[in-house]
Amino acid sequence: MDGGGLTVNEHILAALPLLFSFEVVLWMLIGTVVGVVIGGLPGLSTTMGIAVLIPLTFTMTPLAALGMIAGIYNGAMYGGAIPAILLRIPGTPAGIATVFDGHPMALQGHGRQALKIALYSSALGGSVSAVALLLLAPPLATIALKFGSAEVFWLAILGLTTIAVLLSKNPVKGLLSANFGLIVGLIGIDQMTGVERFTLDSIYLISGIGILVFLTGLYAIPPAIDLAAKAMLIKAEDLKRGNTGGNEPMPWRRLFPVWAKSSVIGVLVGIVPGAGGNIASLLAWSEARRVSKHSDEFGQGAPEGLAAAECANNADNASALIPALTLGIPGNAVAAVILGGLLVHGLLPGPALFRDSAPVTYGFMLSMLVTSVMLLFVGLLGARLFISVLRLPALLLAPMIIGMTFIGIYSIGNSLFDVAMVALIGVVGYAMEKMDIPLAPAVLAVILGPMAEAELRRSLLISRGDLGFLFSSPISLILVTLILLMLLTPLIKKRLSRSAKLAVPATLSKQFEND
Amino acid sequence: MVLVVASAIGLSIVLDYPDASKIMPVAIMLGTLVLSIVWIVQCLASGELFVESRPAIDWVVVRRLAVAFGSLGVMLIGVSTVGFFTTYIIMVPITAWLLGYRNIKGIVLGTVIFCTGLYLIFVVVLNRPLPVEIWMVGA
Repeated sequence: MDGGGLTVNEHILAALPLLFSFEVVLWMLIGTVVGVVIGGLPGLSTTMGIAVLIPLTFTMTPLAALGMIAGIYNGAMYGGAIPAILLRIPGTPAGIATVFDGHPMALQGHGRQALKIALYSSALGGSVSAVALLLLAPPLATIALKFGSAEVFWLAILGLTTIAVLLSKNPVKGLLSANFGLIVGLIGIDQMTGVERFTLDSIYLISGIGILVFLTGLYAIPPAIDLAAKAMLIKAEDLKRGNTGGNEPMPWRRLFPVWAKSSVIGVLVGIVPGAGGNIASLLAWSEARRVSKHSDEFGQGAPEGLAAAECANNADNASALIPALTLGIPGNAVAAVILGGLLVHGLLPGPALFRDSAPVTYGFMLSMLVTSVMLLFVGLLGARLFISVLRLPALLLAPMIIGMTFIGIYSIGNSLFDVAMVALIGVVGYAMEKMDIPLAPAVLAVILGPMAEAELRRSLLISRGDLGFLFSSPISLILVTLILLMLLTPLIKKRLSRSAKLAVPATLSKQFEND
Repeated sequence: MVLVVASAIGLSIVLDYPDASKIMPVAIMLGTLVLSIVWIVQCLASGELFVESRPAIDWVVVRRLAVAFGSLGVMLIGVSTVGFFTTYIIMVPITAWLLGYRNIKGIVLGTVIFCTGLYLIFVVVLNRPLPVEIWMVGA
């Protein structure tokens, strides 16, 4: 049972009619197709795709919008496998391990089969992950609902610390990014005292900077500039590899055990904030190689290697949303942008989401499952189309992304100032990326900063200014301990990635370091 | 160093806020100040600031970056003065050409599909009120 008095099953049943309305199904389908295209284009990321397309969802119903976002998320993760297999260029960071065996398969004339294995693995991994989300998120939210203001304050700080520390090689840069977001989140009139903060005496800043303006600027403009600068050239003959083979029998018996293990690895890694699909796929690939009877084939075109990597990076998708939806702590950058999307539609991420907006929340979780299944059909039917998408010239796409971003932002607030802010924030974001400063902590800070401040004030009001109140409950103390532990995790992460690296053959890792 | 100066100035400003409004801003500014100093110390310790041989500058990339940033600025001015679609019809092909894309058929086709698509989505389907295009003023 949850706060609303209904069981999880009843909530799921209540969400089904909404989910399977014509509008929602259509947008889930469109989202999945667009997602595969975005993931398939090297240089474009899932995060960018969602950020650019969120303005289009503004006039949709919340579930249609979230269904489309779910489609983009799942679709893009598979889409990343297409250039990874055909061109040896991972379309998304999570596609790195896909290259190890996917590209050799394509070179050996099994391009079509490699794409099929990637598709089945992605759909399966995504489905398992969505089921995990449906099973784990509601009970976690029920526990989180019992939190008081002090606990929510520490939870927000834990979320910020987690992302700032885990998403950056250097925690100092991650924390600086979080501080940037906190400042942006405080811009405008303080609702409690009426004081203007960080407005630089500009009337345009009195109402603050919208979350959508901020995240679109950070996630849409820098990739467009990068796309223009790198000017990736794709040879037509490389794309022909996608049409080679395909009549070979699928090695189901070899794949099933790999899928079972890799989906569990992906789900578990996804739940850990900051770990990400790239770590999930590398760990799953290493594990598949460790237990395989054909371990010598790994890195030279082993179907199990490809299946493990693709299954795990999609199994990371929905599970990364577990901390995001229940606690307001996104597991990765995409989850941070999805939180922004929720806010745009008036849904405040956190445990209350499951109580106050249950039909939409459960509908969204179910849409992660439905779009994973949809992906299978979309991928099989549109295989040729998705390969030909790689022909789109990056140099023409770059100004188009900028144009799309500008008009999208203007269409929401009818404000040219917002358009200028997007451009400015985009330039700042590009500079941050070049300095290896992660963007996700800034986005999360914009969301969590005002929430943390409100809860801190409430705590101080309840305790009449006694700071000791913040440390008075066992949950608060646990959260404070977790924050301190989180600050130590860079050392643990370094060890984990080192062991994953060791498992990857030396020749392969060297090859990719040189790239 | 810029961050250190900016956060120090920011700190001096937020200290003047009323007590109820300054807890978070002061904490953030102090945090930024400390973190910026730690970052500088890290750079000094790693010798990052004193590397003698820096990688050679790729002038083609620099030129493309200049075009991308320039295009961003021109498009920004364009949408606020001549309208979205007029700007895009002019700037998308020019930017692509300046970046080095030389397929004229591709440029024309791409621009037409892009602008038509945007018009259909934002004007026809979503019915969003966009600024009037310059050539439509008075029409």
